[in-house]
Amino acid sequence: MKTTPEQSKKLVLEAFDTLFNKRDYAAAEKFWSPSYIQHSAHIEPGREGLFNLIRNLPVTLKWTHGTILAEDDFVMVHGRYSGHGLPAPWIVADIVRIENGVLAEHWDVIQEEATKEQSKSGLSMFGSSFPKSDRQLATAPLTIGEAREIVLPLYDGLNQPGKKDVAALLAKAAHSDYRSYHTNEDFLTRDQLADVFKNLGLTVPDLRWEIKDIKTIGDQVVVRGEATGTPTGEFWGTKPTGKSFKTMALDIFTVKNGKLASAYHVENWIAALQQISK
Amino acid sequence: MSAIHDANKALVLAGIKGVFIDRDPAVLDRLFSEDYRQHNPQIPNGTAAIKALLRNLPADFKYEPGLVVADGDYVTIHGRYIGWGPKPMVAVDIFRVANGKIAEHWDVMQEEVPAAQSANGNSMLTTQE
Repeated sequence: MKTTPEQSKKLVLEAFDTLFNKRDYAAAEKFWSPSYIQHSAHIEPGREGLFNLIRNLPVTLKWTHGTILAEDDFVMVHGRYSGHGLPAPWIVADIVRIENGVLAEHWDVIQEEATKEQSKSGLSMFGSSFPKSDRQLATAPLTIGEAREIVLPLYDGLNQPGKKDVAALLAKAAHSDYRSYHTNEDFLTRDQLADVFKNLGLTVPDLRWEIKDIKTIGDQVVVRGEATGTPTGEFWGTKPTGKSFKTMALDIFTVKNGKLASAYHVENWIAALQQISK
Repeated sequence: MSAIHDANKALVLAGIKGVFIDRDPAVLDRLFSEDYRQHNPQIPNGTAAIKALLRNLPADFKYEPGLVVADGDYVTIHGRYIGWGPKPMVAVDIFRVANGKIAEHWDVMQEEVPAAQSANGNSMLTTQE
Protein backbone atom coordinates (compact mmCIF):
# COMPACT_ATOMS: atom_id res chain seq x y z
CA MET A 1 0.00 0.00 0.00
CA LYS A 2 1.33 3.40 -0.95
CA THR A 3 1.32 6.18 1.63
CA THR A 4 0.14 9.66 0.69
CA PRO A 5 2.53 12.59 1.29
CA GLU A 6 0.50 13.59 4.37
CA GLN A 7 0.71 10.03 5.76
CA SER A 8 4.44 9.89 4.99
CA LYS A 9 5.11 13.11 6.91
CA LYS A 10 3.14 11.88 9.92
CA LEU A 11 5.00 8.56 9.77
CA VAL A 12 8.44 10.20 9.74
CA LEU A 13 7.59 12.60 12.58
CA GLU A 14 6.25 9.75 14.73
CA ALA A 15 9.21 7.53 13.91
CA PHE A 16 11.83 10.17 14.73
CA ASP A 17 10.08 11.18 17.95
CA THR A 18 9.81 7.53 19.03
CA LEU A 19 13.49 6.79 18.43
CA PHE A 20 15.29 10.09 19.14
CA ASN A 21 13.15 11.56 21.92
CA LYS A 22 11.26 8.67 23.53
CA ARG A 23 13.96 6.07 22.79
CA ASP A 24 11.36 3.35 22.58
CA TYR A 25 13.35 0.87 20.50
CA ALA A 26 10.62 -1.78 20.40
CA ALA A 27 8.06 0.72 19.13
CA ALA A 28 10.62 2.17 16.70
CA GLU A 29 11.07 -1.25 15.04
CA LYS A 30 7.57 -0.85 13.62
CA PHE A 31 8.61 2.31 11.77
CA TRP A 32 11.97 1.19 10.37
CA SER A 33 12.42 -1.43 7.69
CA PRO A 34 14.66 -4.34 8.76
CA SER A 35 16.51 -3.78 5.47
CA TYR A 36 16.98 -0.02 6.09
CA ILE A 37 19.57 1.52 3.73
CA GLN A 38 21.80 4.15 5.30
CA HIS A 39 23.59 6.93 3.38
CA SER A 40 24.54 9.18 6.33
CA ALA A 41 28.33 8.90 6.30
CA HIS A 42 28.76 8.59 10.09
CA ILE A 43 26.10 5.94 10.78
CA GLU A 44 26.75 2.21 10.68
CA PRO A 45 24.63 0.25 8.19
CA GLY A 46 21.10 -0.97 8.71
CA ARG A 47 18.40 -0.42 11.30
CA GLU A 48 20.62 -1.74 14.09
CA GLY A 49 23.38 0.71 13.11
CA LEU A 50 20.99 3.60 13.67
CA PHE A 51 19.48 2.19 16.87
CA ASN A 52 22.95 1.54 18.32
CA LEU A 53 23.99 5.11 17.54
CA ILE A 54 21.04 6.40 19.60
CA ARG A 55 21.70 3.89 22.41
CA ASN A 56 25.18 5.37 22.80
CA LEU A 57 24.15 9.04 22.79
CA PRO A 58 23.55 10.90 26.06
CA VAL A 59 20.00 10.90 27.45
CA THR A 60 19.92 14.67 26.98
CA LEU A 61 19.58 14.17 23.19
CA LYS A 62 16.63 16.12 21.84
CA TRP A 63 15.28 16.32 18.29
CA THR A 64 12.95 19.08 17.17
CA HIS A 65 11.68 19.61 13.66
CA GLY A 66 10.86 22.57 11.46
CA THR A 67 9.84 22.45 7.81
CA ILE A 68 8.75 19.04 6.56
CA LEU A 69 8.04 18.28 2.91
CA ALA A 70 6.85 15.16 1.13
CA GLU A 71 6.46 14.18 -2.49
CA ASP A 72 6.13 10.73 -4.04
CA ASP A 73 8.08 8.35 -1.77
CA PHE A 74 10.35 11.01 -0.27
CA VAL A 75 10.16 13.09 2.90
CA MET A 76 12.58 15.90 3.80
CA VAL A 77 12.57 17.14 7.37
CA HIS A 78 14.59 20.08 8.68
CA GLY A 79 15.58 19.45 12.27
CA ARG A 80 17.80 20.35 15.21
CA TYR A 81 19.61 17.69 17.25
CA SER A 82 20.82 19.08 20.59
CA GLY A 83 22.15 17.59 23.81
CA HIS A 84 24.26 15.05 21.91
CA GLY A 85 27.42 15.85 23.84
CA LEU A 86 29.09 18.11 21.28
CA PRO A 87 29.41 21.86 21.85
CA ALA A 88 27.06 23.07 19.06
CA PRO A 89 23.64 21.66 18.16
CA TRP A 90 23.37 20.00 14.75
CA ILE A 91 21.05 21.34 12.09
CA VAL A 92 20.16 18.44 9.84
CA ALA A 93 18.19 17.93 6.67
CA ASP A 94 17.03 14.32 6.81
CA ILE A 95 15.72 12.74 3.62
CA VAL A 96 13.78 9.50 3.98
CA ARG A 97 12.37 7.18 1.35
CA ILE A 98 9.18 5.40 2.37
CA GLU A 99 8.42 1.91 1.12
CA ASN A 100 5.48 -0.29 2.19
CA GLY A 101 4.61 2.13 4.98
CA VAL A 102 8.01 2.09 6.70
CA LEU A 103 11.26 4.08 6.56
CA ALA A 104 13.37 2.23 3.99
CA GLU A 105 16.29 4.50 3.06
CA HIS A 106 17.94 7.62 4.51
CA TRP A 107 20.24 10.44 3.49
CA ASP A 108 21.19 13.48 5.53
CA VAL A 109 23.26 16.63 5.60
CA ILE A 110 24.60 17.81 8.94
CA GLN A 111 25.95 21.23 9.92
CA GLU A 112 26.80 22.81 13.26
CA GLU A 113 24.25 25.47 14.15
CA ALA A 114 25.55 29.04 13.83
CA THR A 115 25.13 31.44 16.72
CA LYS A 116 23.62 34.92 16.38
CA GLU A 117 27.12 36.42 16.26
CA GLN A 118 28.04 34.12 13.36
CA SER A 119 25.02 34.94 11.16
CA LYS A 120 25.65 37.57 8.47
CA SER A 121 21.95 38.05 7.77
CA GLY A 122 20.87 38.11 11.40
CA LEU A 123 18.53 35.19 10.62
CA SER A 124 18.81 31.81 12.31
CA MET A 125 19.64 28.59 10.44
CA PHE A 126 16.65 26.83 12.00
CA GLY A 127 13.38 27.99 13.54
CA SER A 128 13.08 31.54 14.74
CA SER A 129 15.73 31.50 17.44
CA PHE A 130 19.45 30.99 17.78
CA PRO A 131 21.02 28.25 19.91
CA LYS A 132 21.84 28.98 23.51
CA SER A 133 25.53 29.55 24.05
CA ASP A 134 27.63 26.89 25.78
CA ARG A 135 27.61 29.05 28.86
CA GLN A 136 23.82 29.07 29.03
CA LEU A 137 23.72 25.31 28.45
CA ALA A 138 26.31 24.67 31.12
CA THR A 139 24.30 26.53 33.73
CA ALA A 140 20.99 24.82 32.94
CA PRO A 141 20.53 22.68 36.07
CA LEU A 142 20.05 18.94 35.70
CA THR A 143 16.68 17.57 36.72
CA ILE A 144 16.54 14.54 39.05
CA GLY A 145 15.08 12.48 36.20
CA GLU A 146 17.93 13.40 33.82
CA ALA A 147 20.50 12.73 36.54
CA ARG A 148 19.01 9.33 37.32
CA GLU A 149 19.06 8.29 33.65
CA ILE A 150 22.69 9.38 33.31
CA VAL A 151 23.99 7.50 36.39
CA LEU A 152 21.78 4.41 36.01
CA PRO A 153 24.07 2.40 33.67
CA LEU A 154 26.98 2.87 36.12
CA TYR A 155 24.94 1.43 39.02
CA ASP A 156 23.61 -1.30 36.76
CA GLY A 157 27.27 -2.34 36.39
CA LEU A 158 27.48 -2.70 40.19
CA ASN A 159 24.56 -5.13 40.38
CA GLN A 160 25.97 -8.62 39.86
CA PRO A 161 28.86 -7.22 37.79
CA GLY A 162 29.91 -10.72 36.71
CA LYS A 163 26.76 -10.99 34.61
CA LYS A 164 27.10 -7.57 32.96
CA ASP A 165 29.09 -5.96 30.16
CA VAL A 166 30.59 -3.52 32.65
CA ALA A 167 32.78 -1.67 30.13
CA ALA A 168 29.78 -0.99 27.85
CA LEU A 169 27.64 0.22 30.78
CA LEU A 170 30.39 2.59 31.95
CA ALA A 171 30.86 3.83 28.38
CA LYS A 172 27.16 4.64 28.26
CA ALA A 173 27.24 6.63 31.51
CA ALA A 174 30.67 8.27 31.44
CA HIS A 175 32.99 10.07 29.04
CA SER A 176 36.12 8.22 27.89
CA ASP A 177 38.31 10.57 29.99
CA TYR A 178 36.18 9.98 33.12
CA ARG A 179 37.98 10.27 36.44
CA SER A 180 36.76 8.31 39.44
CA TYR A 181 38.43 9.79 42.54
CA HIS A 182 38.85 7.59 45.63
CA THR A 183 40.95 10.24 47.41
CA ASN A 184 40.99 13.96 46.69
CA GLU A 185 44.05 13.42 44.46
CA ASP A 186 43.95 9.85 43.20
CA PHE A 187 41.62 8.63 40.50
CA LEU A 188 40.97 5.65 38.28
CA THR A 189 40.22 5.99 34.57
CA ARG A 190 37.02 4.59 33.07
CA ASP A 191 38.86 1.45 31.89
CA GLN A 192 40.52 0.93 35.28
CA LEU A 193 37.15 1.34 36.97
CA ALA A 194 35.64 -1.32 34.71
CA ASP A 195 38.33 -3.73 35.96
CA VAL A 196 37.49 -2.86 39.58
CA PHE A 197 33.79 -3.58 38.91
CA LYS A 198 34.68 -6.92 37.28
CA ASN A 199 36.89 -7.92 40.23
CA LEU A 200 34.13 -6.95 42.67
CA GLY A 201 31.85 -9.25 40.68
CA LEU A 202 34.34 -12.13 41.16
CA THR A 203 34.69 -11.57 44.93
CA VAL A 204 31.06 -10.62 45.65
CA PRO A 205 28.99 -12.39 42.94
CA ASP A 206 25.64 -11.35 44.49
CA LEU A 207 26.64 -7.67 44.86
CA ARG A 208 23.67 -5.28 44.84
CA TRP A 209 23.93 -1.51 44.66
CA GLU A 210 20.79 0.49 45.27
CA ILE A 211 20.22 4.23 44.88
CA LYS A 212 18.68 5.31 48.21
CA ASP A 213 18.69 9.05 47.43
CA ILE A 214 19.69 11.26 44.51
CA LYS A 215 20.08 15.05 44.41
CA THR A 216 21.30 17.52 41.81
CA ILE A 217 23.13 20.81 42.28
CA GLY A 218 23.64 22.53 38.91
CA ASP A 219 25.72 20.09 36.86
CA GLN A 220 26.52 17.90 39.88
CA VAL A 221 24.73 14.77 41.03
CA VAL A 222 24.92 13.38 44.57
CA VAL A 223 23.91 9.75 45.10
CA ARG A 224 23.55 8.02 48.47
CA GLY A 225 23.74 4.34 47.75
CA GLU A 226 23.50 1.06 49.61
CA ALA A 227 25.80 -1.83 48.75
CA THR A 228 24.88 -5.34 49.90
CA GLY A 229 26.52 -8.65 49.17
CA THR A 230 28.14 -11.86 50.40
CA PRO A 231 31.86 -12.17 49.62
CA THR A 232 32.93 -15.61 48.37
CA GLY A 233 36.60 -14.62 48.07
CA GLU A 234 39.04 -12.49 50.04
CA PHE A 235 37.49 -9.04 50.42
CA TRP A 236 39.75 -6.08 51.33
CA GLY A 237 42.09 -8.58 53.03
CA THR A 238 39.31 -10.38 54.95
CA LYS A 239 38.53 -14.06 54.31
CA PRO A 240 34.91 -14.94 53.44
CA THR A 241 32.78 -16.12 56.38
CA GLY A 242 29.49 -16.69 54.56
CA LYS A 243 28.15 -13.51 56.17
CA SER A 244 26.78 -10.59 54.17
CA PHE A 245 27.35 -6.86 54.42
CA LYS A 246 25.06 -3.87 54.00
CA THR A 247 26.84 -0.55 53.86
CA MET A 248 26.57 3.02 52.61
CA ALA A 249 28.27 4.76 49.69
CA LEU A 250 28.30 8.42 48.68
CA ASP A 251 29.10 9.54 45.13
CA ILE A 252 29.41 13.11 43.90
CA PHE A 253 29.38 13.21 40.09
CA THR A 254 29.97 16.08 37.68
CA VAL A 255 28.03 15.91 34.39
CA LYS A 256 29.31 17.52 31.20
CA ASN A 257 27.33 17.41 27.94
CA GLY A 258 24.97 14.74 29.21
CA LYS A 259 27.57 12.25 30.49
CA LEU A 260 29.61 11.77 33.65
CA ALA A 261 32.94 13.61 33.63
CA SER A 262 34.15 12.78 37.15
CA ALA A 263 33.17 11.31 40.50
CA TYR A 264 34.37 11.63 44.09
CA HIS A 265 33.25 8.57 46.00
CA VAL A 266 33.51 6.95 49.45
CA GLU A 267 32.18 3.58 50.61
CA ASN A 268 32.06 2.55 54.23
CA TRP A 269 34.04 -0.70 53.69
CA ILE A 270 35.14 -0.73 57.36
CA ALA A 271 31.52 -1.27 58.45
CA ALA A 272 31.16 -3.95 55.75
CA LEU A 273 34.24 -5.82 57.00
CA GLN A 274 33.06 -5.62 60.65
CA GLN A 275 29.71 -7.15 59.60
CA ILE A 276 31.45 -9.99 57.75
CA SER A 277 33.82 -10.90 60.57
CA LYS A 278 31.66 -10.35 63.67
CA MET B 1 0.04 17.21 -8.52
CA SER B 2 -1.37 20.71 -8.62
CA ALA B 3 -0.32 23.33 -11.13
CA ILE B 4 1.10 25.50 -8.32
CA HIS B 5 3.18 22.58 -7.10
CA ASP B 6 4.74 22.10 -10.54
CA ALA B 7 5.18 25.84 -11.01
CA ASN B 8 7.02 26.19 -7.70
CA LYS B 9 9.29 23.28 -8.53
CA ALA B 10 10.08 24.69 -11.98
CA LEU B 11 10.67 28.17 -10.54
CA VAL B 12 13.14 26.98 -7.88
CA LEU B 13 15.01 24.69 -10.28
CA ALA B 14 15.27 27.53 -12.83
CA GLY B 15 16.46 29.82 -10.05
CA ILE B 16 19.19 27.59 -8.60
CA LYS B 17 20.38 26.37 -12.02
CA GLY B 18 20.38 29.92 -13.38
CA VAL B 19 22.51 31.09 -10.48
CA PHE B 20 24.90 28.19 -9.89
CA ILE B 21 25.09 26.47 -13.30
CA ASP B 22 24.60 29.34 -15.78
CA ARG B 23 25.97 31.90 -13.29
CA ASP B 24 23.54 34.43 -14.70
CA PRO B 25 23.00 37.34 -12.26
CA ALA B 26 19.89 38.45 -14.22
CA VAL B 27 18.09 35.36 -12.88
CA LEU B 28 18.24 36.91 -9.44
CA ASP B 29 16.28 39.97 -10.59
CA ARG B 30 13.80 37.87 -12.54
CA LEU B 31 13.04 34.94 -10.20
CA PHE B 32 14.01 36.04 -6.70
CA SER B 33 12.09 38.31 -4.38
CA GLU B 34 13.54 41.79 -3.77
CA ASP B 35 13.64 41.20 -0.02
CA TYR B 36 15.10 37.67 -0.35
CA ARG B 37 15.59 36.32 3.19
CA GLN B 38 18.79 34.39 3.78
CA HIS B 39 19.27 31.82 6.58
CA ASN B 40 22.69 30.57 5.41
CA PRO B 41 24.79 32.18 8.17
CA GLN B 42 27.64 33.05 5.78
CA ILE B 43 25.53 35.16 3.40
CA PRO B 44 23.76 38.48 4.03
CA ASN B 45 20.07 38.98 3.12
CA GLY B 46 19.03 40.05 -0.37
CA THR B 47 19.99 39.20 -3.96
CA ALA B 48 22.95 41.61 -4.10
CA ALA B 49 24.85 39.28 -1.79
CA ILE B 50 24.30 36.35 -4.19
CA LYS B 51 25.49 38.47 -7.14
CA ALA B 52 28.65 39.32 -5.20
CA LEU B 53 29.11 35.65 -4.38
CA LEU B 54 28.73 34.71 -8.07
CA ARG B 55 31.58 37.07 -9.01
CA ASN B 56 33.85 35.30 -6.54
CA LEU B 57 33.14 31.69 -7.49
CA PRO B 58 36.19 29.83 -8.79
CA ALA B 59 36.23 29.00 -12.54
CA ASP B 60 35.92 25.25 -11.87
CA PHE B 61 32.92 25.67 -9.53
CA LYS B 62 30.14 23.18 -10.24
CA TYR B 63 26.64 22.62 -8.89
CA GLU B 64 24.92 19.24 -9.36
CA PRO B 65 21.27 19.07 -8.30
CA GLY B 66 19.84 15.71 -7.18
CA LEU B 67 16.49 14.84 -5.60
CA VAL B 68 13.85 17.61 -5.62
CA VAL B 69 10.91 17.52 -3.22
CA ALA B 70 8.13 20.11 -3.41
CA ASP B 71 5.30 20.56 -0.94
CA GLY B 72 3.08 23.59 -0.39
CA ASP B 73 5.11 26.81 -0.62
CA TYR B 74 8.39 24.95 -0.13
CA VAL B 75 10.83 23.27 -2.50
CA THR B 76 13.93 21.41 -1.35
CA ILE B 77 16.89 20.23 -3.45
CA HIS B 78 19.57 17.74 -2.45
CA GLY B 79 22.76 18.46 -4.36
CA ARG B 80 26.51 18.78 -4.53
CA TYR B 81 28.61 21.96 -4.65
CA ILE B 82 32.15 21.52 -5.99
CA GLY B 83 34.51 24.43 -5.39
CA TRP B 84 32.40 26.06 -2.67
CA GLY B 85 34.90 24.90 -0.07
CA PRO B 86 38.18 23.00 -0.26
CA LYS B 87 36.27 19.71 -0.57
CA PRO B 88 33.01 18.97 -2.43
CA MET B 89 30.02 19.84 -0.26
CA VAL B 90 26.71 18.00 -0.04
CA ALA B 91 23.76 20.31 0.59
CA VAL B 92 20.06 20.42 1.11
CA ASP B 93 18.68 23.80 0.03
CA ILE B 94 15.19 24.71 1.17
CA PHE B 95 13.34 27.52 -0.60
CA ARG B 96 10.05 29.23 0.19
CA VAL B 97 8.09 30.60 -2.74
CA ALA B 98 5.83 33.64 -2.30
CA ASN B 99 3.94 35.56 -5.00
CA GLY B 100 5.64 33.57 -7.75
CA LYS B 101 9.16 34.50 -6.58
CA ILE B 102 11.83 32.70 -4.56
CA ALA B 103 11.45 34.51 -1.25
CA GLU B 104 13.46 32.74 1.45
CA HIS B 105 16.29 30.22 1.73
CA TRP B 106 17.69 27.84 4.31
CA ASP B 107 20.41 25.28 3.78
CA VAL B 108 22.46 22.60 5.45
CA MET B 109 25.94 21.94 4.04
CA GLN B 110 28.49 19.27 4.88
CA GLU B 111 31.77 18.16 3.34
CA GLU B 112 31.12 15.09 1.23
CA VAL B 113 32.41 11.82 2.67
CA PRO B 114 33.22 9.50 -0.26
CA ALA B 115 31.39 6.16 -0.13
CA ALA B 116 34.66 4.30 0.48
CA GLN B 117 35.19 6.27 3.71
CA SER B 118 31.58 6.16 4.91
CA ALA B 119 30.54 4.04 7.92
CA ASN B 120 28.12 2.19 5.64
CA GLY B 121 29.85 2.24 2.25
CA ASN B 122 27.08 4.25 0.57
CA SER B 123 27.21 7.58 -1.26
CA MET B 124 25.81 10.60 0.58
CA LEU B 125 23.97 11.69 -2.56
CA THR B 126 20.62 10.73 -4.06
CA THR B 127 21.96 10.98 -7.61
CA GLN B 128 23.29 7.84 -9.28
CA GLU B 129 26.82 8.12 -10.64
